[in-house]
Amino acid sequence: MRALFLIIVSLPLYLAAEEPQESSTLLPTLLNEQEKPSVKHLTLPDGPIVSRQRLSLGINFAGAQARWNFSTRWAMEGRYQQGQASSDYGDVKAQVFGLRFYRFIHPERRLPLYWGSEMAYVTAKPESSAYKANGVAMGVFAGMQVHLTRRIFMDMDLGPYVISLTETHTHASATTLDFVLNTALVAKVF
Amino acid sequence: MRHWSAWIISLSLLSSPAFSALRFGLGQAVAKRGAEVINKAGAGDPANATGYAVVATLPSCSAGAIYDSLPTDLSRIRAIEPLGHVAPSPHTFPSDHVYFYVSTGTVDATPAYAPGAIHIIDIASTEYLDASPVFTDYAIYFYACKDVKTYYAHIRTLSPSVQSQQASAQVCSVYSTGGRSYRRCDSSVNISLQSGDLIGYSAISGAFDFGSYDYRISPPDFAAPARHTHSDQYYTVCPIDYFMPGPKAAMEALLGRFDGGYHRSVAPVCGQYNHDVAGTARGFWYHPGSPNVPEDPHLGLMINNVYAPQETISIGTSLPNQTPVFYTYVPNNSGFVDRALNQVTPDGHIYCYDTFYDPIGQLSGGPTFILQLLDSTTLRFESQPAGSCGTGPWAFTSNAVEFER
Repeated sequence: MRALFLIIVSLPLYLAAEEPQESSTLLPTLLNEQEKPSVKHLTLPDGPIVSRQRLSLGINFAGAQARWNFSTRWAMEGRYQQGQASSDYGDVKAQVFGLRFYRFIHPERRLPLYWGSEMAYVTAKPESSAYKANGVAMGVFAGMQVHLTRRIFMDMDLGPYVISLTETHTHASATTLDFVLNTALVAKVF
Repeated sequence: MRHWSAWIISLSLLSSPAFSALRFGLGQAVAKRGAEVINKAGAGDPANATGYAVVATLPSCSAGAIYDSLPTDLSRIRAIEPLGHVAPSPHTFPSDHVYFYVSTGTVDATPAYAPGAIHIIDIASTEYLDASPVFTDYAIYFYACKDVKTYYAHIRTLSPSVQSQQASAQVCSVYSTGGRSYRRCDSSVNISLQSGDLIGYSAISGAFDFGSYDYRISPPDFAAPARHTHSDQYYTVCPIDYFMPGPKAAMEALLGRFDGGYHRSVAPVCGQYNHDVAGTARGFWYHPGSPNVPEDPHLGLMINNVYAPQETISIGTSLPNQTPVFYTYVPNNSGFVDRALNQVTPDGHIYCYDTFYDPIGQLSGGPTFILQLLDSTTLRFESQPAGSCGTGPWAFTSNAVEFER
Protein backbone atom coordinates (compact mmCIF):
# COMPACT_ATOMS: atom_id res chain seq x y z
CA MET A 1 0.00 0.00 0.00
CA ARG A 2 2.89 2.32 0.80
CA ALA A 3 4.29 1.75 -2.69
CA LEU A 4 0.94 2.58 -4.23
CA PHE A 5 0.77 5.71 -2.16
CA LEU A 6 4.20 6.84 -3.35
CA ILE A 7 3.29 6.21 -6.97
CA ILE A 8 0.10 8.24 -6.67
CA VAL A 9 1.91 11.07 -4.95
CA SER A 10 4.80 11.06 -7.41
CA LEU A 11 2.59 11.30 -10.49
CA PRO A 12 1.33 14.83 -9.88
CA LEU A 13 4.83 15.94 -8.88
CA TYR A 14 6.18 14.71 -12.19
CA LEU A 15 3.38 16.25 -14.18
CA ALA A 16 3.71 19.53 -12.33
CA ALA A 17 7.27 19.91 -13.64
CA GLU A 18 5.94 20.51 -17.16
CA GLU A 19 6.08 24.00 -18.61
CA PRO A 20 2.73 25.76 -18.99
CA GLN A 21 1.39 25.38 -22.50
CA GLU A 22 -0.50 27.73 -24.78
CA SER A 23 -3.90 26.28 -23.97
CA SER A 24 -3.78 27.54 -20.38
CA THR A 25 -7.04 29.34 -19.66
CA LEU A 26 -5.66 31.92 -17.25
CA LEU A 27 -2.49 33.08 -18.91
CA PRO A 28 -4.05 34.48 -22.09
CA THR A 29 -6.32 36.66 -19.98
CA LEU A 30 -3.36 38.26 -18.26
CA LEU A 31 -0.65 38.29 -20.92
CA ASN A 32 -0.50 39.38 -24.48
CA GLU A 33 1.28 37.35 -27.14
CA GLN A 34 4.35 39.65 -27.23
CA GLU A 35 5.04 39.35 -23.52
CA LYS A 36 4.53 35.65 -23.28
CA PRO A 37 7.89 34.32 -24.62
CA SER A 38 9.87 36.39 -22.13
CA VAL A 39 7.97 35.16 -19.09
CA LYS A 40 9.60 31.99 -17.79
CA HIS A 41 8.39 31.68 -14.20
CA LEU A 42 5.25 33.71 -13.81
CA THR A 43 3.65 33.65 -10.37
CA LEU A 44 0.09 34.87 -10.24
CA PRO A 45 -0.80 37.47 -7.67
CA ASP A 46 -2.94 36.17 -4.84
CA GLY A 47 -5.73 38.55 -5.63
CA PRO A 48 -9.26 38.61 -7.01
CA ILE A 49 -9.96 36.07 -9.71
CA VAL A 50 -11.72 36.38 -12.98
CA SER A 51 -15.48 35.97 -13.25
CA ARG A 52 -17.02 32.51 -13.76
CA GLN A 53 -14.50 31.02 -11.37
CA ARG A 54 -15.79 31.76 -7.90
CA LEU A 55 -18.47 29.10 -7.42
CA SER A 56 -18.01 25.50 -8.54
CA LEU A 57 -20.47 22.64 -8.11
CA GLY A 58 -19.57 19.01 -8.47
CA ILE A 59 -20.27 15.39 -7.84
CA ASN A 60 -17.84 13.20 -5.97
CA PHE A 61 -17.62 9.57 -4.91
CA ALA A 62 -20.30 9.25 -3.68
CA GLY A 63 -22.00 12.57 -3.08
CA ALA A 64 -21.97 16.23 -4.02
CA GLN A 65 -19.99 19.37 -3.26
CA ALA A 66 -19.99 23.16 -3.60
CA ARG A 67 -16.72 25.16 -3.70
CA TRP A 68 -16.12 28.87 -3.26
CA ASN A 69 -12.84 30.27 -4.54
CA PHE A 70 -11.69 33.23 -2.46
CA SER A 71 -8.81 33.80 -4.85
CA THR A 72 -6.80 31.90 -7.42
CA ARG A 73 -4.98 30.17 -4.59
CA TRP A 74 -7.50 29.69 -1.80
CA ALA A 75 -10.88 27.97 -1.74
CA MET A 76 -13.36 26.51 0.70
CA GLU A 77 -15.74 23.64 -0.01
CA GLY A 78 -18.74 22.00 1.62
CA ARG A 79 -19.30 18.40 0.69
CA TYR A 80 -21.65 15.51 1.39
CA GLN A 81 -20.71 11.87 0.86
CA GLN A 82 -22.28 8.48 1.46
CA GLY A 83 -20.89 4.99 1.83
CA GLN A 84 -22.01 1.47 2.54
CA ALA A 85 -20.40 -1.57 4.17
CA SER A 86 -21.69 -4.82 5.60
CA SER A 87 -21.82 -5.61 9.31
CA ASP A 88 -23.30 -8.24 11.61
CA TYR A 89 -26.42 -6.06 11.67
CA GLY A 90 -26.96 -5.70 7.95
CA ASP A 91 -25.55 -3.03 5.70
CA VAL A 92 -24.17 0.04 7.42
CA LYS A 93 -24.90 3.32 5.68
CA ALA A 94 -22.49 6.18 6.37
CA GLN A 95 -23.00 9.90 5.84
CA VAL A 96 -20.23 12.49 5.78
CA PHE A 97 -20.76 16.25 6.11
CA GLY A 98 -17.38 17.77 5.38
CA LEU A 99 -15.70 21.17 5.13
CA ARG A 100 -12.53 21.45 3.04
CA PHE A 101 -9.94 24.18 2.59
CA TYR A 102 -7.78 24.24 -0.53
CA ARG A 103 -4.44 25.86 -1.32
CA PHE A 104 -3.59 25.74 -5.02
CA ILE A 105 -0.01 25.60 -6.27
CA HIS A 106 0.77 26.97 -9.71
CA PRO A 107 -2.89 27.40 -10.70
CA GLU A 108 -1.69 28.72 -14.07
CA ARG A 109 -0.34 25.35 -15.13
CA ARG A 110 -2.11 22.78 -17.21
CA LEU A 111 -2.36 20.36 -14.31
CA PRO A 112 -2.65 22.52 -11.22
CA LEU A 113 -1.71 20.93 -7.95
CA TYR A 114 -3.37 21.54 -4.63
CA TRP A 115 -3.28 20.53 -1.04
CA GLY A 116 -5.58 21.14 1.86
CA SER A 117 -7.34 19.87 4.92
CA GLU A 118 -10.78 18.54 5.71
CA MET A 119 -12.92 18.22 8.79
CA ALA A 120 -16.15 16.27 8.72
CA TYR A 121 -19.00 15.18 10.93
CA VAL A 122 -19.68 11.50 10.21
CA THR A 123 -22.44 9.04 11.07
CA ALA A 124 -22.84 5.30 10.45
CA LYS A 125 -25.99 3.30 11.05
CA PRO A 126 -26.92 -0.31 10.25
CA GLU A 127 -30.26 -0.99 8.65
CA SER A 128 -31.51 -3.54 11.14
CA SER A 129 -30.37 -2.39 14.56
CA ALA A 130 -30.68 0.55 16.93
CA TYR A 131 -26.91 0.90 17.09
CA LYS A 132 -25.58 4.15 15.67
CA ALA A 133 -22.05 5.55 15.50
CA ASN A 134 -21.17 9.26 15.28
CA GLY A 135 -17.87 11.03 15.18
CA VAL A 136 -15.45 13.11 13.20
CA ALA A 137 -13.01 12.61 10.38
CA MET A 138 -9.99 14.86 9.88
CA GLY A 139 -7.41 14.67 7.21
CA VAL A 140 -5.01 16.37 4.87
CA PHE A 141 -4.79 15.71 1.20
CA ALA A 142 -2.83 16.55 -1.92
CA GLY A 143 -3.83 16.13 -5.50
CA MET A 144 -4.27 17.64 -8.91
CA GLN A 145 -6.87 19.07 -11.22
CA VAL A 146 -7.37 17.84 -14.75
CA HIS A 147 -9.24 20.32 -16.97
CA LEU A 148 -11.62 18.55 -19.31
CA THR A 149 -13.08 21.74 -20.79
CA ARG A 150 -12.80 25.45 -19.94
CA ARG A 151 -15.37 25.09 -17.20
CA ILE A 152 -15.31 21.43 -16.24
CA PHE A 153 -12.47 19.72 -14.47
CA MET A 154 -11.71 16.64 -12.46
CA ASP A 155 -10.12 16.60 -9.01
CA MET A 156 -8.13 13.67 -7.72
CA ASP A 157 -6.47 13.70 -4.35
CA LEU A 158 -5.17 11.36 -1.73
CA GLY A 159 -4.35 11.77 1.91
CA PRO A 160 -4.35 10.35 5.41
CA TYR A 161 -7.56 10.73 7.40
CA VAL A 162 -8.13 10.03 11.06
CA ILE A 163 -11.66 8.69 11.61
CA SER A 164 -12.97 8.63 15.15
CA LEU A 165 -16.35 6.99 15.83
CA THR A 166 -18.33 6.23 18.99
CA GLU A 167 -21.41 4.04 19.17
CA THR A 168 -24.06 6.03 20.99
CA HIS A 169 -25.65 3.27 23.13
CA THR A 170 -22.66 1.25 24.24
CA HIS A 171 -19.98 3.95 23.86
CA ALA A 172 -17.81 1.47 22.00
CA SER A 173 -15.34 3.55 20.02
CA ALA A 174 -12.43 3.36 17.62
CA THR A 175 -9.99 5.83 16.12
CA THR A 176 -8.32 4.70 12.92
CA LEU A 177 -6.11 5.99 10.15
CA ASP A 178 -7.05 5.46 6.52
CA PHE A 179 -5.63 6.74 3.27
CA VAL A 180 -8.55 8.11 1.32
CA LEU A 181 -8.59 8.59 -2.44
CA ASN A 182 -11.12 11.22 -3.46
CA THR A 183 -12.33 12.08 -6.94
CA ALA A 184 -14.78 14.69 -8.11
CA LEU A 185 -16.15 16.05 -11.35
CA VAL A 186 -16.58 19.79 -10.97
CA ALA A 187 -18.13 22.57 -13.05
CA LYS A 188 -17.43 26.28 -12.65
CA VAL A 189 -20.77 28.03 -12.31
CA PHE A 190 -19.82 31.73 -12.07
CA MET B 1 7.78 22.13 -4.23
CA ARG B 2 10.60 20.29 -2.52
CA HIS B 3 9.13 20.98 0.94
CA TRP B 4 5.71 19.88 -0.15
CA SER B 5 6.81 16.56 -1.60
CA ALA B 6 9.04 15.88 1.38
CA TRP B 7 6.06 16.42 3.66
CA ILE B 8 3.89 13.96 1.76
CA ILE B 9 6.57 11.30 1.58
CA SER B 10 7.32 11.67 5.28
CA LEU B 11 3.66 11.19 6.09
CA SER B 12 3.52 8.00 4.07
CA LEU B 13 6.60 6.60 5.77
CA LEU B 14 5.42 7.47 9.25
CA SER B 15 2.02 5.89 8.73
CA SER B 16 1.96 2.26 9.76
CA PRO B 17 0.22 0.09 7.14
CA ALA B 18 -0.89 -2.24 9.94
CA PHE B 19 -3.38 0.36 11.07
CA SER B 20 -4.30 2.00 7.81
CA ALA B 21 -5.99 1.06 4.56
CA LEU B 22 -6.58 2.70 1.22
CA ARG B 23 -10.24 3.63 0.73
CA PHE B 24 -11.97 5.04 -2.29
CA GLY B 25 -14.01 7.95 -0.96
CA LEU B 26 -14.38 9.19 2.60
CA GLY B 27 -17.95 7.84 2.70
CA GLN B 28 -16.68 4.30 2.08
CA ALA B 29 -13.94 4.73 4.68
CA VAL B 30 -16.45 5.87 7.30
CA ALA B 31 -18.89 3.06 6.40
CA LYS B 32 -16.17 0.44 6.78
CA ARG B 33 -14.94 1.83 10.09
CA GLY B 34 -18.54 2.36 11.23
CA ALA B 35 -19.35 -1.30 10.60
CA GLU B 36 -16.34 -2.28 12.70
CA VAL B 37 -17.42 -0.07 15.58
CA ILE B 38 -21.00 -1.40 15.42
CA ASN B 39 -19.78 -5.01 15.39
CA LYS B 40 -17.59 -4.16 18.35
CA ALA B 41 -20.57 -2.60 20.12
CA GLY B 42 -22.62 -5.75 19.57
CA ALA B 43 -19.84 -8.09 20.68
CA GLY B 44 -19.38 -6.16 23.91
CA ASP B 45 -23.10 -5.99 24.55
CA PRO B 46 -24.44 -9.58 24.35
CA ALA B 47 -27.54 -8.76 26.39
CA ASN B 48 -28.65 -6.33 23.71
CA ALA B 49 -27.20 -8.05 20.66
CA THR B 50 -29.67 -8.89 17.93
CA GLY B 51 -29.65 -10.84 14.69
CA TYR B 52 -26.55 -12.77 13.73
CA ALA B 53 -24.50 -11.06 16.44
CA VAL B 54 -26.44 -13.26 18.88
CA VAL B 55 -25.10 -16.42 17.27
CA ALA B 56 -21.53 -15.66 18.28
CA THR B 57 -22.62 -15.62 21.92
CA LEU B 58 -24.13 -19.13 21.78
CA PRO B 59 -22.32 -22.39 22.70
CA SER B 60 -21.25 -24.90 20.07
CA CYS B 61 -23.76 -27.61 19.24
CA SER B 62 -23.36 -31.05 20.72
CA ALA B 63 -22.95 -34.09 18.48
CA GLY B 64 -26.38 -35.51 19.29
CA ALA B 65 -29.90 -34.16 19.20
CA ILE B 66 -30.41 -30.48 19.94
CA TYR B 67 -34.23 -30.35 19.99
CA ASP B 68 -36.36 -32.19 22.53
CA SER B 69 -39.98 -31.36 21.79
CA LEU B 70 -42.23 -31.53 18.75
CA PRO B 71 -42.35 -28.46 16.52
CA THR B 72 -46.14 -28.68 16.24
CA ASP B 73 -49.19 -30.67 17.29
CA LEU B 74 -48.80 -33.75 15.08
CA SER B 75 -52.46 -34.70 15.53
CA ARG B 76 -53.22 -31.76 13.22
CA ILE B 77 -50.69 -32.86 10.60
CA ARG B 78 -51.60 -35.34 7.89
CA ALA B 79 -48.13 -35.65 6.31
CA ILE B 80 -44.62 -34.26 6.29
CA GLU B 81 -43.22 -33.97 2.77
CA PRO B 82 -39.46 -34.74 2.58
CA LEU B 83 -36.75 -32.42 1.29
CA GLY B 84 -36.80 -32.00 -2.50
CA HIS B 85 -40.37 -30.89 -3.17
CA VAL B 86 -40.86 -29.08 -6.51
CA ALA B 87 -43.63 -26.78 -7.73
CA PRO B 88 -42.43 -25.00 -10.87
CA SER B 89 -41.86 -22.33 -11.76
CA PRO B 90 -41.18 -20.60 -8.43
CA HIS B 91 -39.85 -23.93 -7.09
CA THR B 92 -38.33 -25.51 -10.18
CA PHE B 93 -35.47 -26.81 -8.05
CA PRO B 94 -35.84 -29.15 -5.08
CA SER B 95 -36.75 -27.46 -1.81
CA ASP B 96 -34.26 -27.26 1.04
CA HIS B 97 -36.91 -27.78 3.71
CA VAL B 98 -39.71 -30.19 4.62
CA TYR B 99 -43.41 -29.29 4.60
CA PHE B 100 -45.89 -29.92 7.38
CA TYR B 101 -49.29 -30.41 5.72
CA VAL B 102 -52.22 -29.43 7.91
CA SER B 103 -55.08 -31.95 8.14
CA THR B 104 -58.06 -31.05 6.01
CA GLY B 105 -60.46 -31.47 8.94
CA THR B 106 -58.63 -28.86 11.02
CA VAL B 107 -60.77 -25.84 11.79
CA ASP B 108 -58.22 -24.01 13.92
CA ALA B 109 -54.80 -22.72 12.97
CA THR B 110 -51.96 -25.15 13.67
CA PRO B 111 -49.37 -24.05 16.23
CA ALA B 112 -45.60 -23.86 15.72
CA TYR B 113 -43.57 -24.32 18.90
CA ALA B 114 -39.99 -23.78 19.95
CA PRO B 115 -38.52 -27.30 19.66
CA GLY B 116 -35.90 -26.55 22.33
CA ALA B 117 -34.40 -23.65 24.25
CA ILE B 118 -33.81 -21.30 21.33
CA HIS B 119 -32.96 -17.75 20.32
CA ILE B 120 -35.00 -16.28 17.47
CA ILE B 121 -32.61 -13.98 15.63
CA ASP B 122 -34.59 -12.93 12.55
CA ILE B 123 -38.26 -12.54 11.73
CA ALA B 124 -39.01 -12.05 8.04
CA SER B 125 -42.46 -10.92 7.00
CA THR B 126 -43.57 -11.58 3.42
CA GLU B 127 -46.39 -9.56 1.95
CA TYR B 128 -48.17 -11.20 -1.01
CA LEU B 129 -48.68 -8.12 -3.13
CA ASP B 130 -50.73 -9.77 -5.88
CA ALA B 131 -53.09 -11.65 -3.57
CA SER B 132 -56.63 -10.42 -3.10
CA PRO B 133 -56.81 -9.41 -0.37
CA VAL B 134 -53.11 -8.81 0.23
CA PHE B 135 -51.88 -10.85 3.20
CA THR B 136 -48.67 -11.40 5.15
CA ASP B 137 -46.96 -14.44 6.60
CA TYR B 138 -43.70 -14.92 8.48
CA ALA B 139 -40.45 -16.84 8.46
CA ILE B 140 -38.77 -17.28 11.85
CA TYR B 141 -35.05 -18.11 12.03
CA PHE B 142 -33.61 -19.45 15.27
CA TYR B 143 -30.63 -21.16 16.87
CA ALA B 144 -30.37 -23.45 19.89
CA CYS B 145 -26.58 -23.40 19.52
CA LYS B 146 -24.29 -21.63 17.12
CA ASP B 147 -23.75 -24.33 14.47
CA VAL B 148 -27.32 -25.14 13.41
CA LYS B 149 -29.84 -22.65 12.07
CA THR B 150 -33.47 -23.74 11.88
CA TYR B 151 -36.50 -21.94 10.55
CA TYR B 152 -40.22 -21.99 10.06
CA ALA B 153 -41.81 -20.30 7.05
CA HIS B 154 -45.39 -19.54 6.07
CA ILE B 155 -46.41 -18.91 9.66
CA ARG B 156 -49.58 -16.85 9.31
CA THR B 157 -49.72 -15.25 12.76
CA LEU B 158 -47.08 -14.68 15.44
CA SER B 159 -47.74 -15.36 19.09
CA PRO B 160 -48.47 -12.18 21.05
CA SER B 161 -45.16 -12.57 22.92
CA VAL B 162 -43.09 -12.89 19.75
CA GLN B 163 -45.08 -10.19 17.97
CA SER B 164 -44.43 -7.71 20.78
CA GLN B 165 -40.66 -8.28 20.58
CA GLN B 166 -40.39 -7.72 16.84
CA ALA B 167 -37.89 -4.97 16.09
CA SER B 168 -39.11 -1.76 14.49
CA ALA B 169 -36.00 -1.47 12.27
CA GLN B 170 -36.45 -3.63 9.17
CA VAL B 171 -34.61 -4.34 5.94
CA CYS B 172 -37.11 -4.61 3.10
CA SER B 173 -37.00 -5.63 -0.55
CA VAL B 174 -39.52 -6.38 -3.29
CA TYR B 175 -39.00 -9.35 -5.59
CA SER B 176 -40.93 -11.42 -8.14
CA THR B 177 -41.06 -15.13 -8.80
CA GLY B 178 -43.65 -17.35 -10.46
CA GLY B 179 -45.15 -14.23 -12.01
CA ARG B 180 -46.10 -12.77 -8.62
CA SER B 181 -44.62 -9.99 -6.52
CA TYR B 182 -43.64 -10.10 -2.89
CA ARG B 183 -42.34 -7.63 -0.34
CA ARG B 184 -40.02 -9.12 2.29
CA CYS B 185 -38.92 -7.31 5.43
CA ASP B 186 -36.36 -8.76 7.87
CA SER B 187 -36.04 -7.60 11.43
CA SER B 188 -33.09 -8.62 13.60
CA VAL B 189 -34.14 -9.68 17.07
CA ASN B 190 -33.01 -11.74 20.03
CA ILE B 191 -36.04 -13.52 21.47
CA SER B 192 -35.29 -16.31 23.94
CA LEU B 193 -37.87 -19.09 24.14
CA GLN B 194 -38.06 -22.28 26.16
CA SER B 195 -38.85 -25.66 24.66
CA GLY B 196 -42.55 -25.86 23.85
CA ASP B 197 -43.16 -22.09 23.87
CA LEU B 198 -45.58 -20.93 21.20
CA ILE B 199 -44.03 -19.13 18.21
CA GLY B 200 -47.11 -18.70 16.04
CA TYR B 201 -49.77 -20.39 13.95
CA SER B 202 -49.93 -21.63 10.39
CA ALA B 203 -52.88 -21.00 8.13
CA ILE B 204 -55.96 -23.19 8.68
CA SER B 205 -55.22 -25.09 5.47
CA GLY B 206 -52.12 -25.72 3.41
CA ALA B 207 -48.65 -26.26 4.76
CA PHE B 208 -45.78 -24.57 6.53
CA ASP B 209 -42.04 -25.00 6.00
CA PHE B 210 -39.49 -26.37 8.45
CA GLY B 211 -35.79 -26.40 7.56
CA SER B 212 -32.28 -26.54 9.03
CA TYR B 213 -28.70 -25.75 8.03
CA ASP B 214 -25.83 -27.40 9.88
CA TYR B 215 -22.63 -25.43 9.28
CA ARG B 216 -20.49 -28.27 10.62
CA ILE B 217 -21.12 -30.61 7.67
CA SER B 218 -18.97 -30.85 4.56
CA PRO B 219 -21.14 -29.61 1.70
CA PRO B 220 -22.17 -32.31 -0.77
CA ASP B 221 -20.74 -32.28 -4.28
CA PHE B 222 -22.66 -29.66 -6.22
CA ALA B 223 -21.81 -29.68 -9.93
CA ALA B 224 -21.72 -25.87 -9.96
CA PRO B 225 -21.30 -24.67 -6.36
CA ALA B 226 -21.02 -21.01 -7.36
CA ARG B 227 -24.57 -21.15 -8.75
CA HIS B 228 -26.00 -21.58 -5.28
CA THR B 229 -25.85 -17.93 -4.31
CA HIS B 230 -27.82 -18.64 -1.13
CA SER B 231 -24.78 -20.29 0.45
CA ASP B 232 -26.77 -21.63 3.42
CA GLN B 233 -28.06 -24.27 1.02
CA TYR B 234 -24.65 -25.95 0.97
CA TYR B 235 -25.42 -26.98 4.54
CA THR B 236 -28.99 -28.19 4.08
CA VAL B 237 -29.88 -31.03 6.44
CA CYS B 238 -33.09 -32.75 7.45
CA PRO B 239 -34.40 -30.87 10.51
CA ILE B 240 -36.05 -34.01 11.85
CA ASP B 241 -32.61 -35.60 12.33
CA TYR B 242 -31.84 -33.06 15.09
CA PHE B 243 -34.61 -34.23 17.45
CA MET B 244 -34.53 -36.65 20.37
CA PRO B 245 -35.56 -40.22 19.42
CA GLY B 246 -39.20 -39.90 20.47
CA PRO B 247 -40.17 -36.78 18.49
CA LYS B 248 -37.94 -37.88 15.61
CA ALA B 249 -39.71 -41.24 15.22
CA ALA B 250 -43.11 -39.57 15.43
CA MET B 251 -42.25 -37.21 12.59
CA GLU B 252 -40.54 -39.84 10.44
CA ALA B 253 -43.75 -41.87 10.54
CA LEU B 254 -45.44 -39.00 8.68
CA LEU B 255 -42.84 -38.55 5.94
CA GLY B 256 -44.32 -39.07 2.49
CA ARG B 257 -46.97 -37.73 0.15
CA PHE B 258 -48.75 -34.48 1.04
CA ASP B 259 -52.08 -36.20 1.75
CA GLY B 260 -50.66 -38.93 3.94
CA GLY B 261 -51.56 -41.55 1.34
CA TYR B 262 -48.02 -42.76 0.68
CA HIS B 263 -45.18 -43.20 3.18
CA ARG B 264 -41.63 -42.86 1.94
CA SER B 265 -39.50 -45.83 2.96
CA VAL B 266 -36.51 -45.48 0.65
CA ALA B 267 -33.45 -43.98 2.31
CA PRO B 268 -32.86 -41.19 2.95
CA VAL B 269 -36.48 -41.09 4.14
CA CYS B 270 -36.25 -37.34 4.72
CA GLY B 271 -35.23 -36.73 1.09
CA GLN B 272 -32.33 -34.65 -0.17
CA TYR B 273 -31.64 -31.18 -1.50
CA ASN B 274 -28.66 -31.81 -3.74
CA HIS B 275 -29.28 -34.16 -6.69
CA ASP B 276 -26.26 -33.24 -8.83
CA VAL B 277 -24.20 -36.06 -10.27
CA ALA B 278 -21.40 -34.40 -12.23
CA GLY B 279 -20.98 -35.60 -15.79
CA THR B 280 -24.57 -36.90 -15.98
CA ALA B 281 -27.99 -35.36 -16.62
CA ARG B 282 -29.13 -35.47 -12.99
CA GLY B 283 -29.24 -32.29 -10.95
CA PHE B 284 -29.62 -28.54 -11.27
CA TRP B 285 -29.60 -27.06 -14.80
CA TYR B 286 -29.58 -23.33 -15.50
CA HIS B 287 -30.96 -21.33 -18.39
CA PRO B 288 -28.04 -19.44 -20.00
CA GLY B 289 -28.18 -15.70 -19.45
CA SER B 290 -30.69 -15.91 -16.63
CA PRO B 291 -29.71 -15.20 -13.03
CA ASN B 292 -29.34 -18.21 -10.74
CA VAL B 293 -32.18 -16.89 -8.61
CA PRO B 294 -35.17 -16.88 -9.04
CA GLU B 295 -35.47 -20.48 -10.18
CA ASP B 296 -38.24 -19.86 -12.69
CA PRO B 297 -36.31 -20.21 -15.99
CA HIS B 298 -34.28 -23.28 -15.03
CA LEU B 299 -34.65 -27.07 -15.19
CA GLY B 300 -34.51 -29.64 -12.38
CA LEU B 301 -33.76 -33.31 -13.06
CA MET B 302 -33.91 -35.26 -9.82
CA ILE B 303 -35.03 -38.18 -7.70
CA ASN B 304 -38.66 -37.77 -6.64
CA ASN B 305 -38.83 -36.78 -2.97
CA VAL B 306 -41.82 -39.05 -2.20
CA TYR B 307 -41.66 -41.93 -4.65
CA ALA B 308 -37.88 -42.46 -4.75
CA PRO B 309 -36.25 -44.07 -6.65
CA GLN B 310 -38.73 -42.69 -9.20
CA GLU B 311 -37.38 -39.57 -10.88
CA THR B 312 -38.85 -36.16 -11.65
CA ILE B 313 -38.43 -33.70 -14.50
CA SER B 314 -39.23 -30.18 -13.25
CA ILE B 315 -39.59 -27.59 -16.01
CA GLY B 316 -39.59 -23.85 -15.51
CA THR B 317 -40.48 -21.11 -17.95
CA SER B 318 -37.80 -21.44 -20.64
CA LEU B 319 -39.37 -23.91 -23.05
CA PRO B 320 -41.29 -22.15 -25.84
CA ASN B 321 -43.97 -24.86 -26.11
CA GLN B 322 -44.30 -25.98 -22.50
CA THR B 323 -45.83 -24.36 -19.43
CA PRO B 324 -44.08 -24.90 -16.10
CA VAL B 325 -44.79 -28.41 -14.88
CA PHE B 326 -43.21 -31.49 -13.32
CA TYR B 327 -43.54 -35.13 -14.32
CA THR B 328 -42.52 -38.29 -12.47
CA TYR B 329 -41.53 -41.59 -14.06
CA VAL B 330 -40.01 -44.96 -13.23
CA PRO B 331 -36.40 -44.92 -14.44
CA ASN B 332 -34.88 -47.69 -16.51
CA ASN B 333 -31.31 -48.89 -16.14
CA SER B 334 -30.81 -49.60 -19.83
CA GLY B 335 -31.89 -48.33 -23.24
CA PHE B 336 -32.77 -44.81 -24.27
CA VAL B 337 -36.34 -44.49 -22.95
CA ASP B 338 -36.98 -43.26 -19.40
CA ARG B 339 -33.33 -43.89 -18.61
CA ALA B 340 -32.14 -43.12 -15.09
CA LEU B 341 -30.77 -39.58 -15.13
CA ASN B 342 -27.48 -40.46 -13.45
CA GLN B 343 -26.81 -42.89 -16.34
CA VAL B 344 -27.28 -40.27 -19.06
CA THR B 345 -23.81 -39.14 -20.03
CA PRO B 346 -22.28 -37.14 -22.94
CA ASP B 347 -22.35 -40.24 -25.13
CA GLY B 348 -23.84 -38.66 -28.27
CA HIS B 349 -27.25 -40.27 -27.74
CA ILE B 350 -30.66 -38.63 -27.39
CA TYR B 351 -32.85 -40.01 -24.59
CA CYS B 352 -36.66 -39.94 -24.53
CA TYR B 353 -39.12 -39.86 -21.59
CA ASP B 354 -42.79 -40.74 -22.03
CA THR B 355 -44.49 -42.62 -19.19
CA PHE B 356 -45.47 -40.27 -16.38
CA TYR B 357 -47.29 -40.40 -13.07
CA ASP B 358 -49.15 -37.58 -11.34
CA PRO B 359 -48.46 -36.44 -7.75
CA ILE B 360 -50.77 -39.08 -6.29
CA GLY B 361 -49.09 -41.85 -8.21
CA GLN B 362 -51.67 -42.34 -10.97
CA LEU B 363 -50.57 -42.91 -14.56
CA SER B 364 -51.11 -39.67 -16.41
CA GLY B 365 -50.79 -38.33 -19.91
CA GLY B 366 -48.43 -35.63 -20.93
CA PRO B 367 -45.93 -34.67 -23.56
CA THR B 368 -42.78 -36.58 -24.34
CA PHE B 369 -39.42 -35.10 -23.51
CA ILE B 370 -36.13 -35.67 -25.24
CA LEU B 371 -32.75 -34.67 -23.88
CA GLN B 372 -29.10 -35.00 -24.73
CA LEU B 373 -26.03 -34.25 -22.67
CA LEU B 374 -23.83 -32.41 -25.17
CA ASP B 375 -20.93 -32.25 -22.75
CA SER B 376 -20.58 -32.45 -18.99
CA THR B 377 -21.98 -28.96 -18.51
CA THR B 378 -24.44 -28.52 -21.40
CA LEU B 379 -27.81 -30.23 -21.74
CA ARG B 380 -30.24 -29.91 -24.67
CA PHE B 381 -33.89 -30.41 -23.75
CA GLU B 382 -37.18 -30.30 -25.63
CA SER B 383 -40.86 -30.92 -25.00
CA GLN B 384 -42.56 -32.77 -27.88
CA PRO B 385 -46.21 -33.71 -28.49
CA ALA B 386 -47.91 -36.32 -26.34
CA GLY B 387 -47.48 -39.93 -27.35
CA SER B 388 -45.06 -42.76 -27.03
CA CYS B 389 -41.32 -42.47 -27.50
CA GLY B 390 -41.30 -45.62 -29.60
CA THR B 391 -37.86 -46.83 -30.48
CA GLY B 392 -36.49 -43.66 -31.97
CA PRO B 393 -34.42 -42.17 -33.37
CA TRP B 394 -35.50 -38.81 -32.02
CA ALA B 395 -34.52 -35.40 -33.30
CA PHE B 396 -34.54 -31.93 -31.81
CA THR B 397 -36.50 -29.11 -33.42
CA SER B 398 -36.32 -25.35 -33.03
CA ASN B 399 -38.19 -25.76 -29.71
CA ALA B 400 -35.11 -27.26 -28.08
CA VAL B 401 -33.42 -25.24 -25.33
CA GLU B 402 -29.93 -25.66 -24.00
CA PHE B 403 -29.24 -25.48 -20.28
CA GLU B 404 -25.91 -25.31 -18.49
CA ARG B 405 -24.39 -26.16 -15.14
